[in-house]
Amino acid sequence: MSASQIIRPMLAFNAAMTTKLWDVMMAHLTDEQFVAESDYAIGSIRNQMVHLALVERAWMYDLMGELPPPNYNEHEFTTRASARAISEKASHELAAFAASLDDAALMSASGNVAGPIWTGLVHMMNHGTDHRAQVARHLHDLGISGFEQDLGDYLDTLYPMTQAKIVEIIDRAWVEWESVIAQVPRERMEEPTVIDGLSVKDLIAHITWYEREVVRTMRERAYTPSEHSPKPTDERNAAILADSRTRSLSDVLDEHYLTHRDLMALLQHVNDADLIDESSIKDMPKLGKPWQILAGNTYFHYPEHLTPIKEWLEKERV
Amino acid sequence: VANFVRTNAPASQGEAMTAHDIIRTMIDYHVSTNRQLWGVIQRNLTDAQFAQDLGYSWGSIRSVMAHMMSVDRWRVNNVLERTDPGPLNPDDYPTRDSFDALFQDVEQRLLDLVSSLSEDNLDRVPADFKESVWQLLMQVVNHGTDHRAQMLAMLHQMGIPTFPQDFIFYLWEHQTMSRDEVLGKIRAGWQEWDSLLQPVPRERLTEPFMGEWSLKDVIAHITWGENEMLNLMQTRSMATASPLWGEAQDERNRQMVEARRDASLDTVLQEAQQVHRDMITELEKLEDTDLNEAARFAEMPADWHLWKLLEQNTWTHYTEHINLIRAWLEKERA
Repeated sequence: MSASQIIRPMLAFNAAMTTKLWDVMMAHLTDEQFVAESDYAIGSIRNQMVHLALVERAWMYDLMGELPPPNYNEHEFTTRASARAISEKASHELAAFAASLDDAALMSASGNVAGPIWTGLVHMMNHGTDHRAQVARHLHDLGISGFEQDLGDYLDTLYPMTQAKIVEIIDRAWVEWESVIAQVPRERMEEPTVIDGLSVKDLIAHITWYEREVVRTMRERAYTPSEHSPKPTDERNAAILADSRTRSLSDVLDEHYLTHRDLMALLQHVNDADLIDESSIKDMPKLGKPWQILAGNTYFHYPEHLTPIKEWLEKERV
Repeated sequence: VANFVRTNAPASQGEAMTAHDIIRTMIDYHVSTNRQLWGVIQRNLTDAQFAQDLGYSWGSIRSVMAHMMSVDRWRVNNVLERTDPGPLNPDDYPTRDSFDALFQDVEQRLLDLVSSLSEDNLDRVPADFKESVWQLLMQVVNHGTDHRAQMLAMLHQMGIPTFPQDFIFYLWEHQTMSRDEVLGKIRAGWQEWDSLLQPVPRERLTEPFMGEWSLKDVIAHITWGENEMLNLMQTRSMATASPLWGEAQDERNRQMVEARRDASLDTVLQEAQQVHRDMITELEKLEDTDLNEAARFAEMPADWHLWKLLEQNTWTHYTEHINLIRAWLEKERA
């Protein structure tokens, strides 16, 4: 493990998020809103973005051991386009500078600052996240949404999910789910005492409903809402519960295993590209990449309900 | 701003640092800043304000905190390959006190986890993930900074004073610098400062170039700051500091320069050299702990360190003015 493996993607992330924020601002903000004063932090969105550019440029020169050019005056930048030019230049040059450094250079002290270079670079990444979050709040107050800066989402583009990997993960999570369910005696599966008046059968039916949605969507390569899917989460879950209560335990268990078998069979025919391409499913709402939707309805979903079942088993000494 | 935000090393220069040190420093920063924020929430908000929906992000500060703790706990469990109990429900924590135990537990687990890791397993990819351990932990740090920025804005919205959450400020608070490192920085900076001024013709030293200020004024201004450092080191007390520190920066600068306006150029130049020499001599007498412990100086605030004061009054101060002087000289030459 090397320092450059950590630092390079962090500064690339910083530059990418600055560009992403500009894309949102160029599409939805006016120049008047851009320069409008604010009583929070360092004022207008313009001030925030020029400040980011100035600080990144000054730090880069400091870390290189050189003197930075004279500062900008934020009032020079009356339009988004003019500020975008210096802002993206600063963040992308900083990322390029970080990419040019090896481990020895990252750990060394530079000419103008006291600490090793990596501290200044990480400070810039963190400083960028902080100010972009402040700008995102301004945008929200102006009725503009759509900017998020999650590092996990960014890393996902660098290290994409693969078909083999997701099959392996779902398989492993399913084995654990099954092993716990197998400990529940059949005659106790309908006792509504696991959590919040729910039984093991209720939780199994709940898990199955979400997997079935995934199976249908994958099979049709299109999102076609079922009766309950457009409902708000709590209402939807209540409807799923009401449906399952009318069905026999055998019916619920059979569907549970058959649905999962269908899911795994379908997954054998999925390409790596399909897992990261949001357009691979027609009419799919903006819920994330296909693999994230799969994860949320399988291996991230099982543990959520497995924990209360385990606790119930422990408590009941089944 | 550029002058203000400068850093010191998280470990002495020359000491071998590792990728694990970087991750540990970042997680320490994350937890320390979370604790600072949690302290502000506990001291300044009522339980009703804690749970009040403010219409942004996850709604209330309680909901954002619960989300952040869910993710921190999730990541700890991911790295340890343990089953995660899922997202926390904010409604389970009606008061700040009821949230406190959870907060302390999650953050301590995160610190313990990072302490238990070694260089070798940062690259490991935990079961159920495609990201490696270091990536999962850096997500925690970035996620925390993003949501703290949201909560600081929410606190401001409720009229509560906030604080900057810069990583560099954290380092400043927690890091040290040896006497020899400080001496090295000052000597290198002074050499650059001196070599810039030496070739400037004498008649130009009194020519205004920065508003009303001439190079002579800038030299007197630099000398004033160095003399304050000399005085501090000699008396070992903040009580003898100039009363001008109580003035706003612009007014302080105006008065200190005005006080030397009638002094001859030769006097100002001689003073500059003498004060600098004396300051270096005094600094050479100090021990490393003097540079890093406020208690070594009477009336110094507990979170201040001599090395930081020296930095601001010597090498970064030279750099700031070198930049402006060089720009002026180049413009004149053109």
